[in-house]
Amino acid sequence: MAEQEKAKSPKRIPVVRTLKLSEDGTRGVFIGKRCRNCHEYLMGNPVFCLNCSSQEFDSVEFSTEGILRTYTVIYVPPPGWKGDVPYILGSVELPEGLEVTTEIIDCPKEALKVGMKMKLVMKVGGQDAEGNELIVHKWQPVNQGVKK
Amino acid sequence: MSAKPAREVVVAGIGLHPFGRFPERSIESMAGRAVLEALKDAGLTYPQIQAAYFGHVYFHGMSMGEGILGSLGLTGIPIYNVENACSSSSTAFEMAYWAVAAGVYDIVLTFGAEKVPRGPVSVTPEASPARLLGTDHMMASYALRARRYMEEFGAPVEAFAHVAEKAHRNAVHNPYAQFQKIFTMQEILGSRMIADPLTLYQCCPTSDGASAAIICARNVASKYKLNEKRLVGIAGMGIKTSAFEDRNGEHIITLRTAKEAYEMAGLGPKDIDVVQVHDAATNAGIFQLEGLELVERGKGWVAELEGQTEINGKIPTNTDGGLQAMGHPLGATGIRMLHELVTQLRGEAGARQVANAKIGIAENSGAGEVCTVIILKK
Repeated sequence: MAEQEKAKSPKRIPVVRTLKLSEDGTRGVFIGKRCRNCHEYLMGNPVFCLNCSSQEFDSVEFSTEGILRTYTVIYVPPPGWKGDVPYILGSVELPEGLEVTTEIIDCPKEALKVGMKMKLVMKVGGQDAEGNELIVHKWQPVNQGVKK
Repeated sequence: MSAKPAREVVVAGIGLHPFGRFPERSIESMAGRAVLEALKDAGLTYPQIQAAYFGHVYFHGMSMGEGILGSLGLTGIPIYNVENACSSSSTAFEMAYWAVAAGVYDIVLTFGAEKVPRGPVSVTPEASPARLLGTDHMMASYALRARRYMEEFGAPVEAFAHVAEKAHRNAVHNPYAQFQKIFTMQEILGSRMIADPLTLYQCCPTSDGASAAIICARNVASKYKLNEKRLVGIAGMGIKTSAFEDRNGEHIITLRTAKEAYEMAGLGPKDIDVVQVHDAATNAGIFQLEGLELVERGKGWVAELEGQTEINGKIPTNTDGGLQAMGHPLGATGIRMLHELVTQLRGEAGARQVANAKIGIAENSGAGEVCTVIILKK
């Protein structure tokens, strides 16, 4: 019976394994490691530090806000893209020093500005064969919503 | 950490199959034609080839090199199939070089061929999560770099468009090019937007095509009755992949690769007479000049607009039309660049000849990332 119940409510599964979702699946955070030797931050669950090959790490959760470093507006999407066209891609630098590139939402392209603050939000990107919701991460301007 | 060859190696022959769209032709027939042209150019026959290194990306069945060369003769030679994204054939060339330099073989064939499917090029397989994120988009990654560069150095989009405009002007004189006509700045900037600021005519086409080069140890040239006057020396090379320091989108990989190639050749940026760079998107045609230290970082766009990269300029670049006008059959592009350098250094480039070209450099980028830099010297 428990199994049947589970089958009814679709699970929310992040498409990238470096993302950890909250219990209700509405919020997400990037998880990773900080190298104990060189102190660099790494996404996910590396076995070796990509900088110094150390295997000694502390687990970390990354900041969910960062600074927009560059962007592009895509008019011809790659095969497999299921979202709107055109759409915006942006590279956001986290305080930990890494950049994360993904779609920017809720931002008219005229308002895009390198240096603006962005925050991480979760959206449903598609479904898998079992009907589970595939969760993708997006960037959204921090001041979005203030105007409304 | 530049390596020292045990003996000198030269390019003895070069060949190309025109780049473009040839739906009626098989990859075997295209590659075969480029190889036969290279053999003829060197004055050699296939049975004289001691090993072959074949660069390609798309999979048309196993052991493609064997399939292609099998129709030229079953001589039983070792055939190495090399995949390294858009740097596949330059990687094959470097492997072939070291085998000859080390004395494993005297005469080696190195070639590349591709039939690229239509549409945008993706790096990941169809089921990859990157497809749902919308980030697996080759031109988007170039566009992200373009915007970063514009912000940092104040470059106008016209500087990027000029890379394509110049490439097309050069390719008018190249019978092997996919496009052999003039594109105006207005046509380039006014074409359909792909990934802002890159319009369609700032993104190289994907193509069918093949390229080949035969290299040999200089000390066997007379034994094989090669025409000494047409031999072109291989002076230096480097190959690098992404390092930790490259992770935020800067193009440090080319700097590291070029440094190795210059060191091996005992040459520097000031010695270079003719240049080939991987202008898959127009902005890369500028960044890579900076990566090769031919211009100062952030000043490449100025050099481009000033005409320094023209055939009669200070740093003649992509004299055959580059990826923008030649087209880009991924696995064939690396050796195509060397084909142009050899043609230039022999003084056989006709209307697109760079005066007194003695030393040339070719930079070939691939996803991964990979970067190869090869220096040839007459």
